[in-house]
Amino acid sequence: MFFLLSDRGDLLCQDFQQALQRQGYSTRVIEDLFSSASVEWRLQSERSLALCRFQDGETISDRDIHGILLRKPSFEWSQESPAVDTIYLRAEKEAALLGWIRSLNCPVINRYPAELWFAPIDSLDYWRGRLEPFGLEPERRFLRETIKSYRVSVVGSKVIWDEGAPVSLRSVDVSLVQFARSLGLTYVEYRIADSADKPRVAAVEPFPSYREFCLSGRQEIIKELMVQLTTSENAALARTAPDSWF
Amino acid sequence: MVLVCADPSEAVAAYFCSRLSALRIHHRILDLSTVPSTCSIEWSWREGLPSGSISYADWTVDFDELSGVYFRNVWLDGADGEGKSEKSGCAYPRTDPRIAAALNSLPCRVVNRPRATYSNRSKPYQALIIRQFDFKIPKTLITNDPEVAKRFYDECEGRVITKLISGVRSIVRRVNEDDLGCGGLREHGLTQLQEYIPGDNIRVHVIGERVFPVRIQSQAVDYRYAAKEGYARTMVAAKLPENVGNDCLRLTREFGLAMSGIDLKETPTGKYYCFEVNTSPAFPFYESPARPVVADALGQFLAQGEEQP
Repeated sequence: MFFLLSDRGDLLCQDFQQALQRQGYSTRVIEDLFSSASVEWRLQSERSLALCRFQDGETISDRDIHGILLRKPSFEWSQESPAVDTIYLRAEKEAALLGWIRSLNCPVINRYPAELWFAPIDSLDYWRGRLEPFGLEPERRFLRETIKSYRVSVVGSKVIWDEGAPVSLRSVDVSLVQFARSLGLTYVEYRIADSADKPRVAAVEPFPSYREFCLSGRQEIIKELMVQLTTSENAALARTAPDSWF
Repeated sequence: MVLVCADPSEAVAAYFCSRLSALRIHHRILDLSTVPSTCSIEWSWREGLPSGSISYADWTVDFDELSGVYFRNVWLDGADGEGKSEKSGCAYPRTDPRIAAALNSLPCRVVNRPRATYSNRSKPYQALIIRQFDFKIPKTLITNDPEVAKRFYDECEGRVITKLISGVRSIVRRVNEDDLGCGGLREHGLTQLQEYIPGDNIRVHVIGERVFPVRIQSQAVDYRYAAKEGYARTMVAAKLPENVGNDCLRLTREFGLAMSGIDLKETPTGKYYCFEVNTSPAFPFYESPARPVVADALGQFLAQGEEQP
């Protein structure tokens, strides 16, 4: 069984589910684990074990999960919920999900370290000083809106550019892979600006948007994600990826 | 020079600044409550190191001038902090990404680098790392199912406590059978329960390679609120077995921290449980202002200015 922890309307989730099902794998899309199942997660010094009892009657142990695709959870709440309750309840669910994901032995794309789960990673400013040791330079702020940028995804060690990206941008391929590895992530999306002197990073997206890629790019991403999540060799790699870079 | 990035009206930051003054350690305060409008950071990456300056109010400090940085970004306790979560829509204060990036990269000592502070927003996430060391962690259940919670309660013979899963501050409290109703232990039904571990609490502050343990004796489940529960509390300097002290140092390094506040419990049979590693510890609670050992050690640590590898 593969879990896709994602909104149902998410294009990556839909495409990936179809690809898994075409190869005969069983899948379950879960928008909010803690609202759609009775969860029993036991954790102690020697072991960790979780059971999910879904409303349709199916019970799945974490030992039965062969892989997880994890998208940024939204944990939507009803409009009637008091604002403060909503804030704290979301914090509780995010904390539980982050911990549970870390406890699993199966491959997870992505198994996020706490920093990437909570820090202000949407801002390019946040990545300053982190990109440079890998030979990458962030785009200068005042130029970001005027210089054309191109999407590129790193899945494992595969670099997938969106259509139309100049060949010259590929000089940063190795750096992009190394940077993704340093974050402990299997799948990262970037935007690379075609600056006058050299390619510069205009965005780092540990929660890849995917949707904006051209069709052939999306197909290649799905193919690589399938390799990462379903082959035993890569399953082992995914499990031993660093949880942090400290 | 030491840079303090914090809200200077927050109790821990205010206490630490007063100790820096008492120790005559030259320092500047960057008031995080007024960021981003009042702060600018100009820097670039040269020959493998960051180079630049931080400007705030009427001063500018070059990175080269800094021996250390103290960073603490928390909601204020009490009335001043009320409503901040609701207004911001977040359970935690936001860190300005420019400041986070600079503090993550500065070559001087930083207590603590923002990137290392996030792990204790998820207690089970931390527990999974803690158990890789020689510490035990309490038997824990995270569930949204009242029947499962009741079963765990019975398995532990009623010796169960509950605490929040996240890093939102809360009071640890004992669970009784009345709590285990159909609505679950909390309104949203997602709950963390742990077996109650008897023994003495030990708070260990780690600063660099130094360890400062304090033994706390109280009958209260959450000793921080002992008086509210009608219990006494005593705190005395403690001595740790060498292997436990070394594990505290290793654990602190594992989390990427220069300073930590580790919550341990020593059982009557001499086992050590570890509950949590505080990444922005409220150390003044554990020492007398008349004997500010941890605060002064922290001040000196940041003033020494050795570069980190």
